[in-house]
Order: sequence, then C-alpha cells, then structure tokens
Amino acid sequence: MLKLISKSPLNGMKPIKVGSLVLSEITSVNMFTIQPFKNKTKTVSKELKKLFHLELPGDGKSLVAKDNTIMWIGMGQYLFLGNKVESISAAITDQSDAWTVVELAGIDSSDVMDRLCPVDVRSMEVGDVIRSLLGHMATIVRKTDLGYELMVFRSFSKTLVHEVVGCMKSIAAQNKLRGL
Amino acid sequence: MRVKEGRLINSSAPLKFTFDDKEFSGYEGDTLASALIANDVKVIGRSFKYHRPRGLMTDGSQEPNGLVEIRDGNQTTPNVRLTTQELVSDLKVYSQNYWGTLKWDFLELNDLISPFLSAGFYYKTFMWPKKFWEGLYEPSIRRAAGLGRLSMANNSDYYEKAYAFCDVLVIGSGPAGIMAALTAANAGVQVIFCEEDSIFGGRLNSENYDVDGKPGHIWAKEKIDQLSQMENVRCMSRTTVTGAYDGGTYGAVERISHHVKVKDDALPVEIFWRIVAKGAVYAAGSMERSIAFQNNDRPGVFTASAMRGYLNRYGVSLGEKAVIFGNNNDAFRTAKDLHSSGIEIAAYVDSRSDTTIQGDFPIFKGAMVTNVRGRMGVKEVEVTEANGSIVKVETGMLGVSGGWNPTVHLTCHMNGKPEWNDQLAAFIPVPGMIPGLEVAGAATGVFSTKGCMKSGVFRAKEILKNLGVSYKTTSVPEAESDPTVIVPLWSVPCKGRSWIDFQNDVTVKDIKQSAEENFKSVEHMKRYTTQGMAPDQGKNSNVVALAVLADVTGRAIPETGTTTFRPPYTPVSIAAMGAFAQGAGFAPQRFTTSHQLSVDLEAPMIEAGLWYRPSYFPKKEESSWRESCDREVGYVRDSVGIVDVSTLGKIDIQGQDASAFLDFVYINNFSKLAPGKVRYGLMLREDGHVMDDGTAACIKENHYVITTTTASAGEVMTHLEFVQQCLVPHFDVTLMSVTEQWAQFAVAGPKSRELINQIIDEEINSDNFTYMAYKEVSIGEVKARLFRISFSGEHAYEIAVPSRFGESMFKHLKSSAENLGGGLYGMEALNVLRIEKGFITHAEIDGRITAFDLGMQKMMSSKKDFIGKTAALRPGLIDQDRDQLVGLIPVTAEDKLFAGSYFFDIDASAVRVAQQGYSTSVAYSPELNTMIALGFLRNGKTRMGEKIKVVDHLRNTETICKVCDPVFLDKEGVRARA
Repeated sequence: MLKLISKSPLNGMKPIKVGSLVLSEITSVNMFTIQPFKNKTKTVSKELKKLFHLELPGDGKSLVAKDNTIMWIGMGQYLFLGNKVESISAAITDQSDAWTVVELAGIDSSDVMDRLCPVDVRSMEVGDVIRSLLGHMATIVRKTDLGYELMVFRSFSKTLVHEVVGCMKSIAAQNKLRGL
Repeated sequence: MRVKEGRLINSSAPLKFTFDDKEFSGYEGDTLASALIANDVKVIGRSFKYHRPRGLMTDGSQEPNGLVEIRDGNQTTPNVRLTTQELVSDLKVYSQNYWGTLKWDFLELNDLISPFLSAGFYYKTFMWPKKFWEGLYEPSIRRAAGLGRLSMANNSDYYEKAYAFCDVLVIGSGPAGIMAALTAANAGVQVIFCEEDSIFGGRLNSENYDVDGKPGHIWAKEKIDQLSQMENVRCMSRTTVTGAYDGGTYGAVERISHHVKVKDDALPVEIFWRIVAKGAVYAAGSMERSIAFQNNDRPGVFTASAMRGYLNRYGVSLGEKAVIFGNNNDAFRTAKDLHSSGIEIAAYVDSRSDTTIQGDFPIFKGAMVTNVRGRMGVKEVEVTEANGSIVKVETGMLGVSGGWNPTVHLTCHMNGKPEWNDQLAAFIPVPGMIPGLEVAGAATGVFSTKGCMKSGVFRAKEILKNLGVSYKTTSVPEAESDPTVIVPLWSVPCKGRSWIDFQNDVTVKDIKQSAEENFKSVEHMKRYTTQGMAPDQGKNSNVVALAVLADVTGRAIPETGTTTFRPPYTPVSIAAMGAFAQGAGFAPQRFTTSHQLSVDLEAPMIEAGLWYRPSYFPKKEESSWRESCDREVGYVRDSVGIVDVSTLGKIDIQGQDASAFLDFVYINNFSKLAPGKVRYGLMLREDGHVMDDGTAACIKENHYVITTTTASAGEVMTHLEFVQQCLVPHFDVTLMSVTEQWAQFAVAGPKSRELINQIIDEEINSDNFTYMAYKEVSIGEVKARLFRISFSGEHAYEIAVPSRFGESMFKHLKSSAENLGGGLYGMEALNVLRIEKGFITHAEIDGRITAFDLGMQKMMSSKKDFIGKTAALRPGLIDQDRDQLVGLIPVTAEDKLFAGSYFFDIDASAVRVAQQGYSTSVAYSPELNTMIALGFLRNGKTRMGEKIKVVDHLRNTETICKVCDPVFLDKEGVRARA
C-alpha cells in the first residue's frame, strides 16, 4: 500500500526571529469552512453550541472554546479550526490543506502590518478578524494576544514569508536607527 | 561663512563632503545648503533655459535653484534639494544642468540669444522644415533639456509603502501646528503629527522670537518632547504630506535614510505613507515671495527670511555685507537679525515711503532695487530712490521680501480655489476646500506668532467638535503679535529681464508677451510660458506671475485667479510610490506542490497568471525544447504521462439548489448529472460570449465540484458569487473555492489505468469506472478524488489528493510512469496534445468568441434558461459569416505556422480589409509530422478542404494551408473512452 508523506505549507519552517518580532508557522489543524444553508444560520449556531460550545461569531469576530476556534471569514462563511465538523445544517468544506497560517508576534507587529495591509489593524481587538490584502495577496487577519495570525492561500507561502520577513527586517533596522 | 555658532548645529561633529569633487566641511545639523553657504559657495547650479548661474534663494523645500545630484557608488539621485538634504559625511554632491563645467557652461550661449528664446519659441521655431524635427530639433532639445541625470544602473535601494490611520492629522509643526497637536493630543484622540523638516518647530527654529518667555525654538522643543512621550501621538519628522485625496486620505513621504551614512540593507530610503485621518489640521505656514526686478536671479539674491534663517539656525551667511529690499515690516526683521550678528547692512531699501522703521544703518524709504550686477555672484546693487536718483551699493548678498504667500497647496488638491485677500496681499484658503481639513496659522493668512497659536488651538477644537470629542481648554502662551503691514509690490519697471519663475527662466517680459499674444487666461499663460511648472510648482512664482498678468491685462488679481495646485506638494520618487514592486515584488508568486521537484529537474518554469508551471522537462541528450516536447507528447500517446493540473480553479458547490444553479450558469444541462459522473460545461457572460469552460463532477446529491481554467479561476468565482448573491438570491446554494485544498494531477495515456491501479487501494476497470466517471478513492489513509476525464484525447484520469500530500504524490506518479515507459510532461506537450484534439483554451475563448463560433451551439439547452442565452441567440452572434473555429494544416509539411497570423484568400493581397480570420494556437504535431493550427476563419465550417493563405506580417511569413476539422486526431473519441 502506498504511503504518502505529508508536508506542511511552509515545510515545518522554524520560527524566524528578527529583532523583537517572530514569524511562526501554525500547523496540524483541521480546517473546515461552514456555510449555513438557507435560513439555517440559527440552527447551525445551536448545533455548534451543542457539539463544541461555540456559536457562529458576529461579522469580523472569532470565538474560541477549548481546542476549537470559529471565525467569520465573509458573508455567510465561517472557518472552523480544531475538531472535525460534520452533519450540521451547513455546507462543510475541508480546507485543512488550503491555507498557510502564520503568526506574526511581537510588540512591533503592527508596524509590519502597516506596510502590508491597507486596513487599520491597530484598532482590532484580540479575536477580531478581517479579510483584506497582504501585499497583493488575499488574506485573513486575526488579532491574537501576541500579534496577528495571517492566512493566505497555500500557494502563496513563499511570497508571504518573503514579504513579511522583508518588513520585519526593515522595522528592526528602523528601530536600530532610532536607538530603540 | 560661519558667522556664529548656529543654534541647531553640533559644532563638535564636523563632517566632510565634496561638491563638484572639491572638498568642503560642515557640521552635524547643517543642510547641504547651509554647509555650502558656510563655505562661501555662491553658484550652485544653472537655470533651465538660459543656463544662467544660480545660487540658493530659499531655506526650505520650495527652493527653485538648489537642485543637485548625489552620487553613491553606481547610484545617482538627481534633483536633490540642497535645502532639505541633511549633511552626511563623505556625501558626493554634483551640480547639474550644464554642458561643460558649472563655471563655464557652453549652453550659457542661450542667455546671449535670449531675445529669440522668449515664451512660445518652441511652438514658433521648430515648425519647419518638417523633417528636421526628428533628425535635428528633437535630439538637440532633448540634450539641452531635463534636470539631472540618472546613472542608468538598476536601483538597488529599498523603499517602502505603508498605511496609517488616525483621528487627527496635524500637518506642519510651527506655532500653529504645535498648538493644534497639543490640543488634539490632550483630548486623547490618536494624533499623527507630520513635519517636513528634520526637526520640529517650523519657523520658530529660524526666528528670534520669544514664546512663553523663552526662545521660540526652545519652547518648540519642550512641547515636542512632551508630545513624543504621549502614547496617542505619533510624531513623524522628515515627513512631507504631499497630497490630499478623497475620504480623508493623505499621501506623505517620510525620508528615512537620506541622512544616514552607513545604511543597513534593510533600511528603506523613503516610505510613502497613505494616512487616513478623520480630521486634519493643515498648518503648513507660508512662503516668502520675491519681487521681480532686473537681474533678481543673480547668485547671492535670497528671500529675506531665508537669509535670517540661515543665520539664526545655522550661523551662516554668504557675506559680511548685505542689502535688504522689501515692501513689508517682516523684511526689516532680517535687517535687525543680521545687524545684531555683526553683518553690515549696506542698505535697507523699503518700497513704502510712509514706513516708520528705524535702524542704525542706511534706510532708503520709497526706494527700489532696480538692478543687480555680478554674473557669478552679487557685487553691486543699484537702488533708485524716491526722487529718481540712483545709488550704487557694493554688497555680496541681497535679501528680498515681497510679502508672504500662505502655503495653500494642499487645500487646492481637490480642485478648490483660494480667495484673494487685499489686506494681506495674498491668496488664502476658504473653508471646506478639503472635507475634514481645517487650515490654521500662516497657511490661512494669520502671520503673527500669537495669532498662529490661537488659530492652531481653534482649528483643532473645530476638528474635535466634528468628531464629537470633548476637549480641555488649551492656554495660548505669550508671543509676538505684530500686525501684517504690507504695500503690494510685484515688479519693478526696468528695461532688462526680471525673473518670476527662477527655475524655468520665466521673466516679466514673457508674461507680457503671453498676454500680448492673447494667452490672457492664467491657465493659458502658465502653459505658454511654463511658469510654475516642474520643480517650482507655483511655490515661488505663482502670485507674482498672476499679479503681473493682472496688471498687463488691466484686470484685478481676484478676477485673474490662480492656476491649480496639484499633488504632489514636493516631488515623490517613483521608487517610493512603487515600493515593494521591484523585481519579483511586482506580483506575488503561486507555486504548486510539485514546484520544487520540477525546478530540481531543470524544467523551465513559465508564468500562468500568478502561477508557475513547468514548460518541459529536459533530458541531457536533448538539444532543444522541441525534442523534449515531442518526447513528452509521445509518453501520453504511447504509454503514460503525468502533469500537475492543480492550478485549475476548483469550486465546491453545495445546497438543495446546487444543480439548478449549475443549470443557470452553464449552457448545457446539469440537473440530470448523476452522483459519480462528470460533465464538460461551457459558461457564457451575460452578453452571450464564452466566459470559461470546465468540468463539473457530482460528488453526491446536492454536492458538486466544478473546475475552471487556470486563467479564469478568479473571474469565474467572482461571476458565480455575483450570480448567487444578485441573480438567484432565493437559491439554497453555497460556493467555496477548493483550488488550494487539492493537489491534482493528470495521468494520461494508454497505460494510465495501469498506473492508477498501482496507486489506489481499490481496483478500477473498464466496467466500474467508465469515461467521465468520478469517485472517491483511498491511497492508504488518504482520501483522494479520482476523475476519468481527458484533456489530451487519450484514456486519462485526474487524481486529486489533499495538498499536504501533493509533493509525495507527484514523486510516486513520476516513478510509476517512468516504470511504464512514460514520464512527466509540461505545458508545451500539454498544449500540443490539446491542439491535436482541437480542445480550446483562452487562446481561443478570448472574450470575443461565442458557442456558435466554437461549433458548440448545439450544447446550448433549449429546455432551460441560462446566463447569456438570449444574447447568444441574437442574429449577429449566430451569423454564418462569423469567424468559426477550424483546423489548418500546411500544404507543404515543412512549412512553419505562427499563432496570431492572419488568413487571406489565396489570390487576395495580405491587407487588413481582405483578412478572413486569424490563428489562435499552433503546434508541431509529432503524430502528424507537421505543424498544425487552430484558428477562426470566416464562414469556416463550410470551407473544409479549401486552401487559404496564412500570413504573419511580423515575421514576414506566408504559408498556404488546407482548412480542416479542428479535431486532428481520433475524431470519434475512441481512445478517451477505451
């Protein structure tokens, strides 16, 4: 029997540290999109509550309960990370391999985001989600305790790292220049 | 010379630099301008048209003359303003715009023939003989024109773009800006405070006023220190706000490392900011204007405020003796400051006869400067007294003040026009020119220090009020509050030339000539004379020019109006605006899971949208791509070939109305597609033309996955979302892109089933998995999707695995295929295979093609409605005379064919009006041993067997071809169904 080898989008990239900033790949997560069928939004919320103690979050928000996270990612679209989801009143699509997920952490992470994302990320509260651009790439941004979780399509992995790390280096160099 | 220790100079940090290869020195805190003045350099460049020697005129970013090149290794930055470039040790500075040397400029001949080079001479002079334009005139003008040169080396510097957001943006940090920033900051809102200079404080750094009982610049520093400590304030020095745009958006350039000697590679040179502000206070101050008089452009003629600015801030002066000429009380401040620093005031010339000023130096009231002598620097100034007598005064420099122009530029960026104020003799902004922007201080015509501070507080409060934010009362400190006393004086009558636009060499005479030739509108005058264009952008010349125009046309200034100030306020380097777009930064790159293996196999990668796909996989013994391509085609036709097709769009469609939705977006029927089956489909736009093609597989009831072409994946997704949200919002259907979830590979060729059976756990055969079937299969613990579809015409499959297994899958498929005598194939072979079968890509469906043109009109279901149906059936889109898809084979097998060639009747001449269609795709068919083509031929379906002429006008080829069916091989499709 053929044994296929699994490889994460960034191939287990070790965290990249530049100055106070760290960029790390987040892997090993089941990821499903949940799109409630017509007039089933409340039902899906109830079903999720029963199954995972989570409900559908409001627009631009995410919720966490135990190992599961659910985030709004667009009109009638939610992304569920954690356990496997099935048999609820929604279209469920496996996206576990579709996205590259990284966390950009550090006190200067907003400075990096200023350079890549055209949205006022500094006004985001922890758990807030936006869909925007990262450079020219469509992205999902979620505010975390330490910085930002960034998601782009898997095929963009190399550009994602290149662009984010480029800005991390620039911020470190600018901080050095300012004696910070 | 350095007269005294400048208040903002670090005299313990001397710095060396070169100007035109000659070594000079200055101090930390100097600008290049102040350092050159300290070294008594008078001539720093040449003017644009007449190549007159030019010296510095101002001490700010409005400087018209002080433009230089800075060279660093193989990089040259042209048009750097001496007045804004901070001194850095070992800076290599070069003057520009001459032919010869700065001292001996061959093009200064232009000055001698200036009577022939007046306004409009281009339009009159280079009209004949006509053929001289390209051969002589244009090259000569190009050689003479332009300021500064580029090195032509690739720009290796790093630039950035960034976004910022705030409640209140404060632009300018003079007394008005500081008070506005303090008021806003104390209210607790998010403040961005921008200052163009390297230090905050605006004119306070250049003046001798006291504020709150201490020197103005000390007060400013204290307040800035206070603001920088506040968490809600971002102080950005070296940042010029260059434009005001819709929605409270402002463009700004931050100079990061122009002042840094040893640069980290990661350090940007500049950052182009887009700042979005809920409100803004514009406190950009004002700019002193000159007066037009004979030879007022001589090196050593400054604006009066610049002269005292250089003295107070940097401690430098271009001589020990000065003449000051003005029409207002502010000019007298220069005389006082210079005099108290030991500079001799050889004459103070005031055009007002009734002025009450007094000083310990010669004062000429009601007098005017009527000429300046000294080609390479002022030597003597001619003063004409009120009684007409002429006094000649020896001096090395002349300070001129014609009054102050509020810096209205940014307020005009959304097409607003400022209003003329007679009392101030200046244009001032009117409220509401930029929504959400309040103008404070000198920029709105309030010229006293105290007045500016009050204005700053008031305007910030207005913004806070609009934002609904409560604020505390901010007390305004004691400061100078002299009234503005001015009697307008624009130009001094003279026989010679008196300059208005110093950079573009526009004189009073040019303005008069423009009016005489009926270019009387201010906008016409500007374009006819080039006044206010290029580096000046109206900063120094606008008001004087239009005042002169008003005078010669007998109109008032308000009636004459101003030209339009447009962004950017100061030049923005293209590198900053295009930051992140150098090299590969131009566009993001999308890589498949097999990318690295393909690169390791030395496959040349070609771009397909943002994706990279292998062109072919070369073998050592092969000498051309064609050999590789032919071999790879052979794999598919004879054994088995593997290609990564993950780049095709994949969209998951679910819901009770999913099949109805597919029926609505495809021209053919899908509602009867059974689970486990796949169907080819064609999608039209509303206008009846083909949008895309692909397959739809029914995974299970109410659940489909459709494919799109690589090129149109995004477009189709957008289209489907539009249809779902706007056209059929009542449908219960969901859409989700799964392009990236699955790594998908085509396994094509007679041995494809054999290979698939080596990979998957269960066995497939001709009975349990027929042509156009779909099923989920297992590869160990991995669930994969298997489709029996073909884009090569051969017995073929596509197998999709979750992307994490993509690379591993590709390796297995490669080695299994090689064991069966096959191997990998790339885009070239894929293209040959599909052309041989007459399968279309976006080379054919380019947006102008209908289903009818493709011969697919029978696929259009008559039993249902679908997008584009009505339009597709319009007579014009099903006209027999339309260009229709055909195949072409050269009559002589060795002849070449090129895509994009045009078709002509055999006897017709190959001209536009005779064209009968065009070729879209060509390939060399190893199977047929000749080149073949697909193309669209007028009324093509009825012309099978006919010979036509295929002409490529670019490559100069002409090939006689026979028209044939677009399917060259296996017309019945036997192989695919095997």
